Amino acid sequence: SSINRSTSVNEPPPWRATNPFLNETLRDVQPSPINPFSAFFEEQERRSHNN
Amino acid sequence: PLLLSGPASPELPWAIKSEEKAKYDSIFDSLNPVSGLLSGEKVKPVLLNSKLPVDILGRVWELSDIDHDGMLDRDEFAVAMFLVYCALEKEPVPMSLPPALVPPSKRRMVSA
Repeated sequence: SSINRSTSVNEPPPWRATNPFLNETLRDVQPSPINPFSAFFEEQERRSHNN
Repeated sequence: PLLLSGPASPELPWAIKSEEKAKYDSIFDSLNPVSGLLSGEKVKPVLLNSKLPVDILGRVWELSDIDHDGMLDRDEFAVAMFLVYCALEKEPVPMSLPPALVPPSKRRMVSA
């Protein structure tokens, strides 16, 4: 049986079709092993520990 | 009078400093660009690693894909990374790209 959850978003986002961050395209995203933000998160954690 | 020329002056220095650009370039290269371009499919998982909400990342994409071809080149990718780092620092992502953030290589295109 198909799950017919009609996500009734009345207003489509004003982004163009070239935007990969539209809801539809977010489903099967494999997490990337490349995380340029990991250093940022570590730094943030260090800061919160110091406080 | 040397600083603060017109807001959209082509002489306006790029907001992304060269050492930041070098860092973003090396990330760009590690994602295996095809003919100097990264597809949205390749960029998306990397930006999702920032754990920012999708609507923010959507705006970042919209602003950084300056020519709206669905791909990011080296300069556009640097803009995207810059905006994501701004958002992580709790800086609001602008609704339109500030002139200083437009890569010098794209300025003619934008102002035309």
